[in-house]
Amino acid sequence: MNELSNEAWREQCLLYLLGELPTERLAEFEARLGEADWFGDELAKMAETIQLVAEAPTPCQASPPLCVHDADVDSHACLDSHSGSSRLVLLAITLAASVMIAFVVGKQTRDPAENTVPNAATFTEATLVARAWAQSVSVLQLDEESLSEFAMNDLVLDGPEEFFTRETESDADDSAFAWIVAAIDDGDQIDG
Amino acid sequence: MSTKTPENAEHEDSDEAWRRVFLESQPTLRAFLRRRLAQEADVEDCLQTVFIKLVQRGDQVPLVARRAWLFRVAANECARHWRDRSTTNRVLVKQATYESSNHSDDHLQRLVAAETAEQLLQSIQNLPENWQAILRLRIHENLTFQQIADQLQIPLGTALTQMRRALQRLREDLQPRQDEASESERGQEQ
Repeated sequence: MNELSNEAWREQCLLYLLGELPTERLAEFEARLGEADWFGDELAKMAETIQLVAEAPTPCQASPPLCVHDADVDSHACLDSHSGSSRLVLLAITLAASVMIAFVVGKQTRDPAENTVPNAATFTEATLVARAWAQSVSVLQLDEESLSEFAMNDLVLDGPEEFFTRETESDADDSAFAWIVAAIDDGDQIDG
Repeated sequence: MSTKTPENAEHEDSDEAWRRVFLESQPTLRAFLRRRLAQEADVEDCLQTVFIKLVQRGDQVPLVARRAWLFRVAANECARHWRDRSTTNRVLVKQATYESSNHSDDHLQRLVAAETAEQLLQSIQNLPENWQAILRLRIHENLTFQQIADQLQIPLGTALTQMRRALQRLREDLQPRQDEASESERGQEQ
């Protein structure tokens, strides 16, 4: 039973742990385990080493030259892993480019009216009147001496009239204010 | 009653493969444990613990290393059994501090495992190239020794011997670190 050398028994351990020990040698192997302490120790140490190697990163990942060295199977496996990662990178780049193109095209094809600054016509008439009045007031220098004079003046009638005059000179499309001019004229006639 | 769906089919196949490996290894595991443990009841307890750990962590073990994993766990359980027996008076203290020390133990074990893996990788790269090739083809490609011998055009015995020597060299390289880890583990238990 103990005809094998220790080296040969160690190789039997290796074959057993990797599932390659022939069935007809199994009984002899178990018997050997039951009678030699060193053999059990050897089995345990070899089991530990095999497991550590199996759980370690593959040499293929850690050392590229080793991939080149060996069989077609290895080279193929390495190629697969590299092409897998580069495929992901390509996918990410394609996705980013698609989003960028969609953003640019979408911006260009958007309704031009949305891109223009709202013109004066879009303001309400009330806003324009209020702005004109504020402008006319702000140009006056108000001090204590002129305050009484300021209070006596009819700014409501003078200011907008001046403003509308300016507006009609600068803006050809004054039809929107026609009703205000007409109303002021009517007011003058009533006062007078 | 379980139904086999595409989602769990792989797990069931894996479980079945694990069950087969365990059943095939059980007589040898028993012989291994009987030599190390004094009583048959301890052998059975240890076998049961190995099986429980298999259920808990078995899916993390690479296919090629399953039988090796079983023997490694069994050897560790034997060592734990004797340590616990020789330190019975410290068990209660250990149990009381288990919750607080468990986190740091896990962290330390992860650090040691990471360092061991790094050193192992370095050791593998220092092996002769033909040893590296055999190691990789057998462990990572899961080719049989006969297939490796055919592929590398070397005798079967040479492939086997070179694999054994490669493992021996790696073990020698890792031995000091493993001794340190064992010492550290013992120190924490005490």
